[in-house]
Amino acid sequence: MSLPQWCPPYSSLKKNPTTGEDVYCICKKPDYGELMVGCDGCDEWFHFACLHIPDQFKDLVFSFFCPYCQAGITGKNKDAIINGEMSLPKTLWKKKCRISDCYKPCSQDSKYCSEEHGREFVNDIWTRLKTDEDRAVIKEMVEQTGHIDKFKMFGQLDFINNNVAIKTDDEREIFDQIVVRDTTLKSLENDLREIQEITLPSFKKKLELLEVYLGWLDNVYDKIRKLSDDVASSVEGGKMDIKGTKKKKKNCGKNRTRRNICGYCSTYERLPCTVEEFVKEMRENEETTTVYGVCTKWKCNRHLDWVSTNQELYLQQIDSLESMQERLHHLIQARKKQLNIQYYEQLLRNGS
Amino acid sequence: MNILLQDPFAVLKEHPEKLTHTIENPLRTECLQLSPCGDYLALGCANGALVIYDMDTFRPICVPGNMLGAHVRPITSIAWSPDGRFLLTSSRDWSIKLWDLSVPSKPLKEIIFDSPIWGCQWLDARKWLCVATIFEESDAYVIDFSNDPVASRLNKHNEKTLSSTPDHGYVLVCTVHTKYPKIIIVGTSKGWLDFYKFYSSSESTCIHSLKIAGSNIKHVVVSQNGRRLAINCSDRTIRQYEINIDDENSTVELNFEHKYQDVINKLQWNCILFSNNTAEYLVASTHGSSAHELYIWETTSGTLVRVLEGAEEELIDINWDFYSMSIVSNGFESGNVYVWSVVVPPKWSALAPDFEEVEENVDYLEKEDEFDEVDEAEQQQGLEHEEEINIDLRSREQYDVRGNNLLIERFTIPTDYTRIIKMQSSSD
Repeated sequence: MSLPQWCPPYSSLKKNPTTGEDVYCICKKPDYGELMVGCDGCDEWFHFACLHIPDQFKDLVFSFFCPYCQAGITGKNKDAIINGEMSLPKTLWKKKCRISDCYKPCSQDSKYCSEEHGREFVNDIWTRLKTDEDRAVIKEMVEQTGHIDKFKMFGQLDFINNNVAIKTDDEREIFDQIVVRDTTLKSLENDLREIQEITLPSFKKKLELLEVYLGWLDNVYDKIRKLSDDVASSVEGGKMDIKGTKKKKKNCGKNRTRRNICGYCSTYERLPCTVEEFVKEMRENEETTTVYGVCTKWKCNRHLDWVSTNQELYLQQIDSLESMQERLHHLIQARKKQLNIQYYEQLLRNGS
Repeated sequence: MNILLQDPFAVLKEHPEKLTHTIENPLRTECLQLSPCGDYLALGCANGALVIYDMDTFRPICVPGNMLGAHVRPITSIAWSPDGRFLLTSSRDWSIKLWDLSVPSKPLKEIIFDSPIWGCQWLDARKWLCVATIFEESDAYVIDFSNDPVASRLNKHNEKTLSSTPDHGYVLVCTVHTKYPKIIIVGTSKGWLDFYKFYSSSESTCIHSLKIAGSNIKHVVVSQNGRRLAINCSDRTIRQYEINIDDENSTVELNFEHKYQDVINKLQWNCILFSNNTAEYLVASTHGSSAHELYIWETTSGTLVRVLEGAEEELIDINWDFYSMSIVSNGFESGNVYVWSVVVPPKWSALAPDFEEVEENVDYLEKEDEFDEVDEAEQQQGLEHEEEINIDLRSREQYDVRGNNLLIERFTIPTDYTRIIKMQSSSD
């Protein structure tokens, strides 16, 4: 924080060099008895007027720091602040009484400085109520609750959000009419049930099945790799006697094992067959590109990236459904609250 | 300001000239499409999101699929229905989705293929038909969205096969003829242009086949009046033809008109587009990081008339709004969208015909009869006479000054107030 515009740069002057008087504050003038405040950082004294603080605030100071301490120029912890170990100090104020022209601090656990001012505030509100109807409502509220703690409960959400306690048949009827038969609430609850019980599990199931299929595919890859290694080594063994180009052949074998078949299958929810069957079938029909509905191309541009695309698709759907579920919970809560309010209002109307 | 009151020479400019707006899209635009009346701009993004911008405020107003069912791979094409309410999107995640913008939170319908989609187009939006080209397929597909989406091949192997070479390569692009909506034009990877006549989802015939070039056909565009055809091939050439189709849609005749090439740099063209009505202009974007401009040619003479500058990157897709005469294009690197428009200087004196704008102060000379007292009765008569002229304030004009139809239906995307507000109002 830098110095405010009206504050002159810091000067360490303590005495006027010509008169020898002690000087204070940012104005560097002697003490003529004006209202002053001591800084908790540098123990220097400052005029209220020089710091542009109204005089009424004199009782509200909790801990005061002068502009220089707030800017980190002076103060006890200056070094720590420069090193970044401590943050800059800030002047703190006590909470002011709720009466607008009272500048006394609030007493403990209260919004007012004193009991008189508390009474004055509430009285003021009472006189501002214009109609007798409003006053009657307040009176009824006070009388019905009987106790101050219960009165304070008004406007708190627990009361409205809680399930309604029903005592008589009449109340039951009104409740049925307003809350139970509400179509909006019903459709919201249905939506939520559908997501929870049908849609969301079906996507999770799909994702699981895909994982199962991928596991199967891994086994197929292993099998193929093993077989091709066998082929490579037998070829290698046969050829080594003749030419001895072991190294070259080995590379060749490696290159082949690194590649895998595409493996895309549109009906992966059900495993096509056992691994052995599949590999056998595949080796017998090397010229075709699909075996048991599985794409067996070694280099497949068409189905490139199919695994991650599908996985992402399901994950995204699950994600959206989960947030939709959350949103529905909120909406149901909000709707229930509205209906409960309507119910209570209806009760009141019936009562009067 | 009312377009009719503005400087007619500025209003009647036939192509935009200045870069006026840049729409920043952090999701990277892959393709874009303006709604039929230019009210909205749909952007297909690299992560599969579809974002709709309002073209008056240049702000995003709608993200279809924000609740469920958005694409998960880059969007490859977008097509608006003529009434502006339904959108088709195709994506590299193998799916084509149909969106209803009155309930944009999730797709209305979708169909999934087994490979990425190059692009899709409406064939007949009223009957929920569209055509699509799929990766490594030798035929285009017609998709019927009226019930559960069904795809059927647009088969060229029938008894009336016109060409002797059966292998046309893979299909890449498809477009529907603007005047004859039953004619589908398909471009293939071996430079073939196939014309199909569509009868129903199960029946269609290939009425004409022609080898245009030896390489991929990247775009086929038909002018609004249906008389011109332009083809963008990966051999770095745009070919322009005059196209004649008889009323029974049985014969197709193509006459070569012009060829557009970048003779110096030999750059490929990314995208091409015709201007409205008779397609007097053709606009194209260039491939490669060295060129950042859009080129506009006059189609009758084939001369370059304008180069749209201002973007600082390669431009990909182009779209032209003929109502406000602006061109939009997306950048390759940033994914932002650039908008070029006609800048019309405001001419406020047009609002008050009695006033005229003067360059400097003029001494006013009072006219001879200016402050004469007029006989009241006479004046009243004059006023009444004026009032007798019937001014039609109600019926709307059919065409704007640029010749665009104003009476076509425009769908307004509903503002999505939260459902809580909806519930509150329903409970009152």
